[in-house]
Amino acid sequence: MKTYNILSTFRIIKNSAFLQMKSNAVSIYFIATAFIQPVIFTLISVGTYVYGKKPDFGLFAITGTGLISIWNSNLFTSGEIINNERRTGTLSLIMATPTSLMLILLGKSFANALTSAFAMGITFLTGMIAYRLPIGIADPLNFAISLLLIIFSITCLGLVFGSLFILSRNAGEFTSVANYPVYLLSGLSVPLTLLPLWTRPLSQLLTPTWGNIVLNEAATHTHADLLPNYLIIIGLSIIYLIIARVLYKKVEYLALEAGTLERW
Amino acid sequence: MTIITTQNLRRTYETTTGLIRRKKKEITALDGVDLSIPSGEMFGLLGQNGAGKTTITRILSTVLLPTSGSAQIFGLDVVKSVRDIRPRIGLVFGGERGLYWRLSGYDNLQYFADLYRVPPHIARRRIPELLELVGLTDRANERIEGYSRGMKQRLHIARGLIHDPELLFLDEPTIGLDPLAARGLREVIRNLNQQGKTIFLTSHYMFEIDALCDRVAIMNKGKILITDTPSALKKVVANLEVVEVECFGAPEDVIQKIQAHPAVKAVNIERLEQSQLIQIQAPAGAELVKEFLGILEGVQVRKVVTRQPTLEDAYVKLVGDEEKRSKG
Repeated sequence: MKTYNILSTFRIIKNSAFLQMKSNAVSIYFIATAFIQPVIFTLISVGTYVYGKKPDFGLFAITGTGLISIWNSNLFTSGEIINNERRTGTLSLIMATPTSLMLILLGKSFANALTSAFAMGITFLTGMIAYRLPIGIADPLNFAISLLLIIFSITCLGLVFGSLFILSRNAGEFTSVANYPVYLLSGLSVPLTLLPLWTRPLSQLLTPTWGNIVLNEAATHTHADLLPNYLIIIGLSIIYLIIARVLYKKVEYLALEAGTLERW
Repeated sequence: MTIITTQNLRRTYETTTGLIRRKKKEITALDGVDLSIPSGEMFGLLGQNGAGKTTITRILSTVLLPTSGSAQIFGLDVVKSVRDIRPRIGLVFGGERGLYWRLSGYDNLQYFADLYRVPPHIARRRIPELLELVGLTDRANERIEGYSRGMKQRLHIARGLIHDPELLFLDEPTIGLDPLAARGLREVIRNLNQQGKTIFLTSHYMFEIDALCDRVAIMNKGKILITDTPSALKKVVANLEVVEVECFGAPEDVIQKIQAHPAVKAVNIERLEQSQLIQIQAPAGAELVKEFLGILEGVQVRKVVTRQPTLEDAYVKLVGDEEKRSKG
């Protein structure tokens, strides 16, 4: 029975992910955040370093921009998933099933993050073509592992923010505000060393910080010891999942109490 | 065995008005509802828009919490035992929403089979059976966005049955359907009940409830006015007949004069495309048509018909009596 439940849980995550990918394929909003935005972000951020005579920061800017795009598309589209379910009237129907809403959203958000991994490739390509930066990846295997881990971890972090959308269709305003501090605190737009010391503990709680470190390490060093950082990313992901589980339970109850599941 | 019970069930909503000086207002959607529905029954809930039908359906199907009172499904509390109740109930809303339009009919059923944790070997057998039941086998692999409204409604029924629930909630399942599609869907619902499923059906189509349900509750402004069999409810108006006058632009004071006539028990006005249909309930055998036409003097009358009362007339009378009582 337990084996069946585990299999059925994986099937729900997998099929939710496929469902989301099918929707993404025809969503202009998703295409814009996952594919067009990275080009613009890369042109701005890499350009800042290149024209500021600090081309050494080019790679840092590229991985940072790639992570921004992954985080962005995950955060906004995760919220959009719930609003879309609300708009199409499926939110209350999936809530009425025995499957936890968090599990369904985990699959859908992971699909978003996975698709947005293209953003990393786009930022590299944009940097190479637009600024002629000689960008190579020293340790492709570790880079791929880092990327997969960080995508999963960002999905978990996105779930925490996404829970707010169950309560209200206007949660996007909150997540828009919360978006930029994450860029800054994770060192994605400026190096962490430029931020005040008191921000460090906050930075260390955000998985994009560690993602930026492992991606840069894997891109610049062969055989870098990334295991401790991987463990931190996995640990943070577990913490996010625990927080998300508690939040979803609470938020689902509040939404049933307020009757907002179908209010659009 | 009783499958649904509610005790003094209440639900209120808070709304705000005004932009600068916002004022909170409490709206009562359900006002002390008591219900008891046995297993295997086809139970109908009748009421106009805003009567509270959808609110009670949402509470019983665990997607809305009551403000006070209690409700049990299979003896389990709808607030505390959500996980045990959900696999045993099916939920079907009327209208076109509630499906994934970019997926095919088959894929929609497959996805909900997963969410209800139906084992794959059972889902593989059940999905074609359900598609056959609702007459969608030939279009199963097409995207929903190309389906007609009636097809979407039928797919909703199939989706609601994907986990073979013991109890099915149908909230206005035939709303907006053309007569043929609605008739087909009613046939499906009747068959499901004959197969032993308990059905909780809400509708504002009186003939539908009359034709399908074993018992009916009439709702008005969040309250249950009466619960009985359709034939018993019709007895409320058994000694009456209905005079239907189709006319053009009868003024309000003329309608009030008809309502004030001592023999008139209830008046219902329906707006037709270009005309009005005044339905007047009065004691059978009374020679009142001439008197009504006298009151309507000066108004262009197209047609006058006298007929036997229906469940709809019983509904109009019961709701009208309640309105009169509440106005004091």
